[in-house]
Amino acid sequence: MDVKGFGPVFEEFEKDPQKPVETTAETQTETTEETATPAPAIEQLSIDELAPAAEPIVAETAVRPEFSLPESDYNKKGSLKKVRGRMMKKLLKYEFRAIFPALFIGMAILLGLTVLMIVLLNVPLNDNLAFFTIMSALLYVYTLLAVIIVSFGVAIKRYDKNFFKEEGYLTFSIPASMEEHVLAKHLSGAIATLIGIAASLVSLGILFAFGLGDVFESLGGIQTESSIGNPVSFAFELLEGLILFAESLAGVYCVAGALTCWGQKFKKKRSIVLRVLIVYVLLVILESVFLNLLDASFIEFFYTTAGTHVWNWLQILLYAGVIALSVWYELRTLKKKLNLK
Amino acid sequence: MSHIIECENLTKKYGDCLALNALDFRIPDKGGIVALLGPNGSGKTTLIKLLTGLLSPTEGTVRIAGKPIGVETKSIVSYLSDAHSLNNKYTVKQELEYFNDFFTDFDKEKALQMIRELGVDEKKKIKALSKGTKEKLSLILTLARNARVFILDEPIAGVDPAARDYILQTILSHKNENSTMIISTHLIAEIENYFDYVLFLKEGNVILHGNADEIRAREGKTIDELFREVFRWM
Repeated sequence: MDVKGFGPVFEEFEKDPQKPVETTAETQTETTEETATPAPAIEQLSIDELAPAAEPIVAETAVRPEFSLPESDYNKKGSLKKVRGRMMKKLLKYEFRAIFPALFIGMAILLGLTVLMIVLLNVPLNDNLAFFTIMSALLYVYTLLAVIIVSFGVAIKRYDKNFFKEEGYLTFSIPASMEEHVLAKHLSGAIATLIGIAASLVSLGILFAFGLGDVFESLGGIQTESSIGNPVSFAFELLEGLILFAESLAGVYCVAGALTCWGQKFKKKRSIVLRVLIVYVLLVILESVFLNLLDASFIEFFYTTAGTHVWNWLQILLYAGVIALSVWYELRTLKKKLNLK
Repeated sequence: MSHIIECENLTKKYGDCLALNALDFRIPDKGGIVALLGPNGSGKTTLIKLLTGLLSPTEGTVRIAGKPIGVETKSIVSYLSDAHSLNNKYTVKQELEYFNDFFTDFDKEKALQMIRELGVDEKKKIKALSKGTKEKLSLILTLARNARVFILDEPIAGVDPAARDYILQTILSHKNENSTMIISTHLIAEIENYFDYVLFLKEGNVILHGNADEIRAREGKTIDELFREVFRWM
């Protein structure tokens, strides 16, 4: 590169591009002497020279009022909260606004199909209606499943689009922490999925109550016949079941988020489904290897009442570990390894 | 004197590739337009990404208004990326609400006025807008904030001359005197008279930074001429 005639800064830089140009008086004198017709030293004009160089950096407490964040965003020690209710409300508002339309459309279709199924199950079956009834039942089952998983699909697509595509430039320029971004994504997805599950259960309940009365009664019979056994143990099992359900719901979103973060590192992004399958297969293999390693009598222990609780808590701990690991990986990727194109 | 931007030993590596090499510079908190100049691959966008928190440094520190890059600095930095970052599914009005919700310094009335001047229907979806209008809308939303620092990454690259004029006029007419505006650009001639400071980057090094008028006076060249001669063979 020809930089002659553009002052000693460029000449100095040309000699050793890896070396940052010194803007000290020594460099200036040295380079000026070497030049036959010295051009005015550009480094003399550096901002550091124009402004007092040893200006101390303003103390953090002093600069705080200059930032447009409310006092409620700070904790008692004066540092910014990692998760702020104010910001979470805003983030969740936009997440729900994106997820709910698809979910509500699914729920509306499910409601229509539930009514249709009740009508079809209450009219005398004949050859003309049989095919239509079977097709409607299939459609009903698919819609039931769709209502449960549609939120997951929308939420994960948004995760990828908002974080790793061009929208990421705007997403990460808003004054929200990575923890807030990730929590808002997962929380909104989990709540929407929960609503989808609840809607499906209500639909099934209505269908059983009004369309499949006989089946409902027989199920009721089974319930009456089955013994709850030890109430304390049952209460524990219920609690464990609830924890496992909550963990599963959270875990699905956290693992999917972590896999999406993993996927953005590859130039050829594999589909999220493929990545989920790979991880699922690995987990199944790991589980079978683990069970094979256990002694048969040890496995039998897990079929006892105490063993069931132990097994449940082992699963709770395992799920908690998977969630913690996934969230850690997500935050690490978003904070340190973000690679927006 | 306080500094709005301070970089100390700022280094960024992508694997073995050194994108920024131990940058040390400070920009005083005086307001004005800072031109970030350099050829492709010189590290301009990497520096901008570090300033906006989209990347984290491999070594060194970068501070804005005395704070490390984070939520607080994002609250005072208004950033226009060179990518289309608006949500295509939103209408113009919804995008406006989004900015109004998340940026406390966003001036909705100012944005609305600029959008009306541009002649864009607020009910129109972003995806229905032309590429040029999307870029203008992004610029309007960025400039409608009363931010202390504006960072505009290649705002006039890849647009037709008419759009370029609009963008430049919008930038200059809505610039706040107290704010610092960092503009990364190759097209220096059109805007050079408005530069207060320049920062030349080459191969990840700052090879020059200083007051634009002083540099012109001492070198006897415009910044554009200086840029063309320095980076002639790049």
